[in-house]
Amino acid sequence: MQTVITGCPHDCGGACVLVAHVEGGALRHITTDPTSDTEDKPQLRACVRGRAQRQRVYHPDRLKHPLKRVGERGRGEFVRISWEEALDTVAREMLRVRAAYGPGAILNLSGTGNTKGKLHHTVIMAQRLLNKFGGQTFTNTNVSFQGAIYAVRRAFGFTVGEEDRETLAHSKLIILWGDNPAVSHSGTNITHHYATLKERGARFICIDPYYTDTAAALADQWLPIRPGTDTALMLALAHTLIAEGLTDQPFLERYTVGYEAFRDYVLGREDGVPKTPAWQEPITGVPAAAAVALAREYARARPAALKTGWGPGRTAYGEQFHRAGIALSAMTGNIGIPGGATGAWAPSVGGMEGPQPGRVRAISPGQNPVRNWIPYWAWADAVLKGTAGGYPSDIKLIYSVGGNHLNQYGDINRGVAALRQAEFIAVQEQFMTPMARFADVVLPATTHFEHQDLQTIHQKGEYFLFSHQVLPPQGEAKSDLEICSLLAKRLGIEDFSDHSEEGWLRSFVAGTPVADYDAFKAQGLRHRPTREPQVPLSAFVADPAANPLPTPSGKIELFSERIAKAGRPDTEPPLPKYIPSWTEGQIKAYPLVLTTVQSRRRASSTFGNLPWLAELEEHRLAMNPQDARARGLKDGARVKVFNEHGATLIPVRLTERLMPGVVSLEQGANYDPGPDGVDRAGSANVLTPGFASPGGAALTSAIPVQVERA
Amino acid sequence: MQWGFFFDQTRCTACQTCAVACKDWHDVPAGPASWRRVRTREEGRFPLVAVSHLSLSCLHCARPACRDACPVHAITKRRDNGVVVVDRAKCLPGCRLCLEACPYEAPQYRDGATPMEKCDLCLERIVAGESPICVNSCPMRALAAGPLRKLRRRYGRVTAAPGFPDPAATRPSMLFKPKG
Repeated sequence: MQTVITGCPHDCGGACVLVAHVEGGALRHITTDPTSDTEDKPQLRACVRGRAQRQRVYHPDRLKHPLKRVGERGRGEFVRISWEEALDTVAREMLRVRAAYGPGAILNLSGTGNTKGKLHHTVIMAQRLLNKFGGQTFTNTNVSFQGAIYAVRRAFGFTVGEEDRETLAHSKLIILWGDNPAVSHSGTNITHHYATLKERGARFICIDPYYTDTAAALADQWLPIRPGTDTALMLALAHTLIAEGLTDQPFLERYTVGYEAFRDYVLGREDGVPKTPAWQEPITGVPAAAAVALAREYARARPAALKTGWGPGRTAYGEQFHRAGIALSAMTGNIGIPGGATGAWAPSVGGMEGPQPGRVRAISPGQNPVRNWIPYWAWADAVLKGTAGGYPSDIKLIYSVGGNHLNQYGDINRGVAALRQAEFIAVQEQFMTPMARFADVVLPATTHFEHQDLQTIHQKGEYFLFSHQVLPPQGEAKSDLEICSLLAKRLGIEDFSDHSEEGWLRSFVAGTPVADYDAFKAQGLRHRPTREPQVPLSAFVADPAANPLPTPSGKIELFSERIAKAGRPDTEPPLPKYIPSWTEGQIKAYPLVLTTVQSRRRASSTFGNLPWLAELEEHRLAMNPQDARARGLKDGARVKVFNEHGATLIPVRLTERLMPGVVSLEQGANYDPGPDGVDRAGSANVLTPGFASPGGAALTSAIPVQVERA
Repeated sequence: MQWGFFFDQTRCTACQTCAVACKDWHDVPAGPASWRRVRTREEGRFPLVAVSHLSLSCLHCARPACRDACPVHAITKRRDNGVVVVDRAKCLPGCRLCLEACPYEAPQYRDGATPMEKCDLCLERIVAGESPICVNSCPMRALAAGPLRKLRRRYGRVTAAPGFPDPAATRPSMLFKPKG
């Protein structure tokens, strides 16, 4: 049996080492990092999904031949065609649409099928092809963490990333607020790292409507909170800090602007409503005494890290959650010091890596000559309304490489209408996703086991990995690079790929710490030379005069002049504020609050079809027994979850781990409409809206729904 | 010498990586047979809930009840490392007396009348000096395996944990760091 190192390129927040055991040309087993497992350099151990990859490569539903739609669009009726016919058809349609409407009529809906590969990166691949073809309409901003981006850019002037995890060894208290790393990894081994910090004495507090697997393993205290109200609790913590004189005044004076205005708002001097612990209790469900105790503990346990997840930010006015998180971290003087945290962070633009010296390069998307962009959440609206709706172009052709936008963005039913309206849809995919079902031509793509690539591990690239090719392409599948190259030839693009696959990989490492390409390839895994663990904003905090922030004031802006200038104080206040959701009036019709969360069995919609993973736990709607009793539901009962956006059928799982009044659904189950159009798969986004919070945050939680027996 | 397992219940997040890594390594298809299983116990009422997990396989008992129950002597205990093994060629498919006798649901069966199968502590791997695949897979480093004497020295002598059946009857080769 031969062993071959590969990576795992999916969009989960980690990136681990997989070792393929190959015999007689077949993949027999998957194991993980073969290097020694030490405290300083723990093995980059794969999760349950990585270990099940064999069932993905050999899945009977893998797309192995090009397909052409024959039935009504979206019904999933296809016939096999040759690569020749498939590529000719797609090229002809692209040329036709460009000639008739211009390149802006092409909408790129590529996605995170492969986001770790430096070469076979699904989004960059499509961007590059379409940019070289003359341009495209591209979706901008981010469905996962736009609320956090909004907050950090306004407070700090740039996209502040996460602190190196090693620095949390200094933390006396770690608050995981809407953060469940045991499932939604923030880097390989992160939960293991937290467990070792706990064993060395750090205290953990978890704030979440659900008693998560992270909370069960780590939390010294769990504070359940009603979804969408986190900002109210944060303001009450600020109130206690102010009222009890627990703020770090020297920090606030030296490093921030706007604190007095924020203090006045919190104390009620602006609107007559003091944001006291008693004020927040009926809003959040958190007892006032617990809020007071939390504020005191947070102020006194210095340094303390307020680690905010992105889930609470994906709500109405969710960006205020991240802004308030920054305010609390500043009020307690926990920014820019080892063991503290910024209270909000987001991966920097251009991938999941921060700016790092000696960073391994990737294939370039090039420039978009058309410069058309629409926010991610508006893709369906843009297709349906076009220029008449104020969008930059009328969309005629949709191109997707590894994207499942129909399933993974808000309001699936509106997405269906949009996909029905397009003139032509081409999709490069490994499986028949809900998005691919709407394609006119489907082009079968290889998995990362069937091509070679480079990956950087972790979000910040502390490791480099050579992801070897393990198997020949399955069926007639081709890599996304090869598919785009073949299309480029037909489109008259000469310079789409001027290297071989190997040539590209070689060019990416020249001048980096893994410059010896052949040795790196043979070795597979290479650790980055050791560097000091980094704390964001530490240079600014060490010397704010010499290292001002790129904000208008050069300081942390609790009050944002930039937001004030936009002139929308009711929806985009210049101070972090709690604004009740516009959905509050729906409480009678839809009395339950839906939160959508990550599944350990999937990375978004990837992996959902693997038998080894599916059998671990049935996909169900979590509900507290109180709410089930009120509806006469027993554990396992099939229910209809519905609201103004749509409906889905799914069994319930009754659990005391979830707050009453809240239902929780793992996102990423693939939309499967019955004859009546109602989803039968428990696909979360039939219930979420196709618009965003004023700050651009997606609306995937705190969604009003009703549940009744199906 | 008796080999066994150690399980740190305070670390487990029920991620199930051990269970799937086991299925992949031993080629056990999706279905009712799972050599290693992670079970979650929820207790209490919101908001006072307690959650604990157990990752269990065959525990290679000092007094294996399965062996004593088997009418065709298909189950034996090895002298060199105490691993309890099943001779699947001898097993009477459909008999399942071993499952009735085992407090830990260690004997497993696929769909239909298939012979019993279960954890063999990755005999081939441990003989080659490697750890069992489950131990090697755990992202939380919550599992260990080795000679019991060594495990006791390193992890203590606790043999009980919330949700774990009384070890007195069969003396499983299992140590815990229990939760709570």
